[in-house]
Amino acid sequence: MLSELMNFFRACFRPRSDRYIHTGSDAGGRQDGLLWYKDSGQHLNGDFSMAVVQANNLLEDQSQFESGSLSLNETGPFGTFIGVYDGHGGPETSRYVNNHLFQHLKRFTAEQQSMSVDVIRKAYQATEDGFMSLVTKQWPLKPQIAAVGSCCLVGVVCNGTLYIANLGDSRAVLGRVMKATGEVLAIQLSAEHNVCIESVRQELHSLHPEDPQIVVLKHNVWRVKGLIQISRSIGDVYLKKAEFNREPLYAKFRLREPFKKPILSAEPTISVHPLQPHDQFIIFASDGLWEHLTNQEAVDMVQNHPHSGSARRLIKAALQEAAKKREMRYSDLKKIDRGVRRHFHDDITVIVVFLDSNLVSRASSVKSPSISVRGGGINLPHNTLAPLTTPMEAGST
Amino acid sequence: MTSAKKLLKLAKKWQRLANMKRKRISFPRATRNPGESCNTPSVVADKGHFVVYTADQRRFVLPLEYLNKEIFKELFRMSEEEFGLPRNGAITLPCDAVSMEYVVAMIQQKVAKDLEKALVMSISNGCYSSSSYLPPDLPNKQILICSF
Repeated sequence: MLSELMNFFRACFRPRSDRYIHTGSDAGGRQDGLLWYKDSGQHLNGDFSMAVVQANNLLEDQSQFESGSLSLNETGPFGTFIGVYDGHGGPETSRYVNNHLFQHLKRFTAEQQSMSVDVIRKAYQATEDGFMSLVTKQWPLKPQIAAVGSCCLVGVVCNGTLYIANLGDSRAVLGRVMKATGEVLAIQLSAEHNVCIESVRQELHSLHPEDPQIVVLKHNVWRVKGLIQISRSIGDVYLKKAEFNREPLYAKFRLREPFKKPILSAEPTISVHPLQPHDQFIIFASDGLWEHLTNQEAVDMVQNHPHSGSARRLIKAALQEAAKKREMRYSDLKKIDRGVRRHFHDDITVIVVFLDSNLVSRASSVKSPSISVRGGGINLPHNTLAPLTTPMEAGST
Repeated sequence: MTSAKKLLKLAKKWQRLANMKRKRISFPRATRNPGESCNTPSVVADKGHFVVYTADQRRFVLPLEYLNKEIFKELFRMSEEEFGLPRNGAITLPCDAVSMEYVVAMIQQKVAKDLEKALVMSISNGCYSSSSYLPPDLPNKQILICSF
């Protein structure tokens, strides 16, 4: 009896594995401690800047930047694709999205021979279906995968048009210069699905009129079923199919009453924006940035500094703000190791896409060299669920 | 294998030790509601330190190295369970100032691993009443052995 208890604590106190450090998957980025960055790169419609800071033991934020053909066909259409995937409960879903969503999008673009809202919607649906199959397959051995999910923010620039699709609470903000004053205006392009927003709570109440407890205040924060702050995501299948909301899933994730229809949705909100010559740049970032910086602060910071290093500069500003809130120095905050660091700030991903109006107006049939960059981080060598499986880790992997 | 009796003895030894040490520990104090907005000017910790508040709202300024101690990792984990992750304010740990002084005394004394584990158990038992934190396959009655 006691030995079991001791084993439990031993499992909690697993040794550090930092000696297995390796850098992000694709070339071009640099790793400096828990910060990964690519200060500058060129894409079809201008240049870009990208940075990621890790707080979780396993990086839950995943991201990608793609420029070139948006179709499986070499003939295009050509454009730029940006993806920010903020995972929760573990890195599995965000990694899955990072590996599959863009491929699905290319397949549907090839089928329809053009970019459209429908192509993006189908790519999201195929990704959700694919992950659902993966969970079904892994459930018998790794039931906790049912409680892993990811936000999913996508931007596509193609043929002078910007498409923004979102699930969850990452955010895309456009910087538009006002002709009269020369000031830059912050325009939020993405809809958010976080129940801290009253309209999102109302939407849930209208979808689930039979359940007055669909959204509850817990720890002073609104949560769907007292569990999760977002109402839409990829994954989180324990809140989508009742068959995954049972043992051996941890008790804290199990609902008292079985549900008949999905509680969370995977239907993205998609908007289409014809780009204008004074649209200067778009900031794509996970909520880790936006909890410390306002849209206008972020846009001003990008506008008032050189393009190169923009993403890293935004992350630095957010960390300085986080340090202030935690009543400590920024230089000390940076010394805190991944894992415990999640109590000081979240994983943060930032991609700043600068738009060159001459290039944006160019037809989408103009061929260009393709670019593919993935946001990096430090990972353990094996694919573990963290932190959910901690007590059972000895039996997994 | 450690027996319950031995563990209990270790914990008692540690409590004696902590009580002795307690009188000499002092911490910078600042009265502040941990839930309040960060817009109010607050004291920034000295270089190489971080700040936590206990549930009874005492402010502790502690060396960064403490973040690598298993006991603190456990307290942070419990804090997340109890209060969620901090958003706009400082970090609050789910134990009172007396327990925190014990923890600090223990770290200063460089006590043995066994004792540290006993302390983790006593704190998680004392501060966190729900058993949902433990894996579901662990019967609740096992927790009783550490309620000293």
